[in-house]
Amino acid sequence: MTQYTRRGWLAALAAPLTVGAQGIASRGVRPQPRGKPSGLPFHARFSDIADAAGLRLPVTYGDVSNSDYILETIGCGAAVFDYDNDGWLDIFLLSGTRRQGAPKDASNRLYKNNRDGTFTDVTAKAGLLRQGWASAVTVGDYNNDGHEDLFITYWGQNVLYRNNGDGTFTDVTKEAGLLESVKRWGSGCTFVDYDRDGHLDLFVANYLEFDFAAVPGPGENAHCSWKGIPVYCGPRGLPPGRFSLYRNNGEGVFTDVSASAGVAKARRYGMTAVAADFDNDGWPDIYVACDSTPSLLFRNQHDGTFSEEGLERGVALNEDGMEQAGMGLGIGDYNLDGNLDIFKTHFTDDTSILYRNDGKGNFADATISSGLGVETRYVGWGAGIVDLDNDGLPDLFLVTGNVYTNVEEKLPSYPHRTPRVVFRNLGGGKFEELIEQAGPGIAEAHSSRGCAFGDFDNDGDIDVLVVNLNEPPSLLRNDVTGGNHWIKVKLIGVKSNRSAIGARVVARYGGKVQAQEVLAQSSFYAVDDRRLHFGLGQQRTVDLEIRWPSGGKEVFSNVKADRIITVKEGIGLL
Amino acid sequence: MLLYLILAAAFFQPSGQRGAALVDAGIELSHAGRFNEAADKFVQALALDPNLAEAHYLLGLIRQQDGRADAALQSFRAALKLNPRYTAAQARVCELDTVFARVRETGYDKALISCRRAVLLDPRDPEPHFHIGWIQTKLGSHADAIQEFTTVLRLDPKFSRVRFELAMAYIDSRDIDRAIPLLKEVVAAEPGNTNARFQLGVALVKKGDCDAAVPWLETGSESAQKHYLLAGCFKKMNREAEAASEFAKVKQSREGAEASMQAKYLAALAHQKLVAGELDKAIADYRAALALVKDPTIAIDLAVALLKKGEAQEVLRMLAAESDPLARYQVALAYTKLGRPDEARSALELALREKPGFVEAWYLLGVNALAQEKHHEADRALGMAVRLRPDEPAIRLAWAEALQKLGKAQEAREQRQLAAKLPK
Repeated sequence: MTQYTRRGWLAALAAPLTVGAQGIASRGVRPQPRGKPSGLPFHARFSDIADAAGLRLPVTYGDVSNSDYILETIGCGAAVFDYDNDGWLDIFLLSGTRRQGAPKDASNRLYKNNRDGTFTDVTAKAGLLRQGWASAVTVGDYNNDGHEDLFITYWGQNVLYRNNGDGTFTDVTKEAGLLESVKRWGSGCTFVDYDRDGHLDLFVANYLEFDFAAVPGPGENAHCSWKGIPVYCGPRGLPPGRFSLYRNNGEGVFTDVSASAGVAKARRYGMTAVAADFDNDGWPDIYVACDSTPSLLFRNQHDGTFSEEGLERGVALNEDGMEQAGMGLGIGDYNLDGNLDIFKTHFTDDTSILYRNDGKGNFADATISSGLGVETRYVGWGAGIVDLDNDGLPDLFLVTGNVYTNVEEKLPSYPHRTPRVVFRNLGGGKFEELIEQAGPGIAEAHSSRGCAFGDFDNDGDIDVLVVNLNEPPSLLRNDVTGGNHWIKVKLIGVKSNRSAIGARVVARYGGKVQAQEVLAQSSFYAVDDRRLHFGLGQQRTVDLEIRWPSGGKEVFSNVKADRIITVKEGIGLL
Repeated sequence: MLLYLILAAAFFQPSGQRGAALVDAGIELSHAGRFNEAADKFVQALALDPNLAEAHYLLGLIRQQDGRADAALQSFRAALKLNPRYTAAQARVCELDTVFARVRETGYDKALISCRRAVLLDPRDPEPHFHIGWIQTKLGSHADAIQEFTTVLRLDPKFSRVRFELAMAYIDSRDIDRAIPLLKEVVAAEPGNTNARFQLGVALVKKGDCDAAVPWLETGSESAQKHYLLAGCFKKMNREAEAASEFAKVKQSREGAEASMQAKYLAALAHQKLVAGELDKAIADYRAALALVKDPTIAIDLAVALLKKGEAQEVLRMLAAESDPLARYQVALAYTKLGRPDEARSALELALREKPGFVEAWYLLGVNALAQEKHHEADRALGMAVRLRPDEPAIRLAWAEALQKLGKAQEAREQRQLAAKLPK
């Protein structure tokens, strides 16, 4: 037998297979090593009280165990808002349906707050029963009549509901000029007074072009598998959606100005949309978290047009220039410099991202330096930059849940139901991940999507409503200890839009400065409590500076803490 | 002559010995760089004696060289089944399991087991350590990866790529300071390694040193990321015009990538419809994909569909100017369908000039020649096809037909017998 060595033999072979090429500059989606726990007590503790509160109907969305199409898995959002102006937050939950037909109770649901920790389903009475594949909601008083209206996106026709002020709503989509000629998959949406004329306009994102008949089933081609497992197809490969801007003429009618405003050109897998003034020029910009494609920042040019500058401003990609699967958005001032930062959630095997705003609308990726890189296990959805323990340092919160119902069986490290995550703010731009330490409501595993932040029991902290697919929602009641102080600020526009969407409040307390803005959508397809909540730590008073969308400014000094205040534009504290 | 003597002797030995002699002949041919002929010998040897672990292993090496990784893995596993302590075969299984894990993004645990077995069999072989290091990197076990790569360096300081991978492992574990000197060593040793240049640039950006990073990024491998990082650096350095130019490149690159992604998806849909027999729909999807990007591979797929529909003329119109061997092959098929064998032959010869190992082209050349009763030409072409793909029974049967026509009855019979023993 001829002798040979493997090395010698290999040398004769021209091109042996090699391995080793890693993702080029990606931080590799490998988790950042965890540091030592701070050992500091966390004074917020969450418990799920949904069942006791009467929120028992599941949020129907696709098949429970076998989702073959992307439409069945993306899910929907929710809103917390005061539809009857009684000073207590009510709940509006969106719903999907099923391919084989909707279950009996599948519908969007409006729950009235009974002011005793329970809620009553008033959907039918309010005229809001509707079945379909709902995605997102935005809340705003588009006709400035003092009652909050609803706009909902669908796969199919989006819907505008006018609040009649008597506990009922009317579908005014057609008369508002919002009927569409083609079937789209509406996703993120937000009321925004982009031209600052005092009337709320409407921005709508579309996720992608979808048709059950045209999209192949799981595993039917190379684009329909994940880690070797057949899964639904998309979003990659499917034609991306477009973006629309509708101008409110002040009489309840909207006109599509997408092309002239410069938002029609973009094509992305758009998800949550947030309107806020990111560059501190007094005009609302629009940021859209985009799935698997660069996210978009439409900068307001003050002349009815927008310029898309996500890339140049540093919020399209991560610091390595990699696109991420943008889903949900938290907006807030985590580092207390008076500027709005962005927290965006992504797919599993990637981190969420934290963009730090320099005040001029230029952002830096602070994910690793802030300690968020430790968590890559979950698919993140609804999110917020919210002060959960009232210590004056805004924390980060996200809900999670995998999209693939069938992967867990083969890959147990990718479960379908996963916990919520809290990153408590340690100060100095650093965060620490907490799950079990934040209470049983955080550690519970669900396949969650939207979540909305608000104080349901008006006890001075932030509770969280969470949409769980094909399960009842969670209502995470926050029981804060530790004696920290707080203030909530409700704004009513007069010259500005009545909902005060786009109003900026800067709070100064104990040497800290924190900015917040009234938003009409954030988290994931969701709407938070319109009353801006500031934890104040040990401070018993706070100075507040309000900048209205109209441009007017008002300052209130030494405002006493631990109460909800209402400020009417030009009139002052009510 | 030596090969002839070995082969001649082999035919007078019992099947086991004849098989071993064929293995030796295959090895000689391999040493002469005649790998296709060698593979043929190994196949013949295994037909005589399927228990020749070495023949499985050697056949696996040639299959691996040919890029037929699945078949190669099958051969290596067959060798290991016969001899569980076959060190070289275990190392190859480790390598291929790792490759498959990389491509499929799953199966890392399986690859890890294969590679640990390989290390147990030969702890001094750096390759399995290298693969383990790579798997540990993918699994996020940076410390383990660093340990394995360091072992590779100790065992073989000249081991290709290990410094680069070690540097990447350091970057993954946020130890940029250790990564930078390693990457500098790599680019010093391999000035043409544009990926290492790029990674060095990235590492320096992460250190906040844009001045140092820019030259490495500029000479680094091309990607949207490179331009994004350059744009960020130029912005920080107040070189606004250059930043704007780099951002424009990022946008252009991403738009192209997105169009390409959609086109590939449409092409995949089309393929699915083709398989389902929905020919017209498949053709429509291929056309839509081609409208998004000019991709010769999609044009070739469209040609396949068009030929199925009998639209040979359109294939000629579409691909006549293409020089890609696969396109020329489709053109040859179109000419064949149109009954123009001489033009088919010209197209195939052009394709084979570009890609001499194009088995299907040799095969089509051969069967076309057979149809034209050009038996010598058929013998030459089909013989070449068999040498390139010795384990394909259809090719051997076609060759047998050519040999028969030339009056080589004994050789034709042997080919038929070999074909019968091969899996269909």
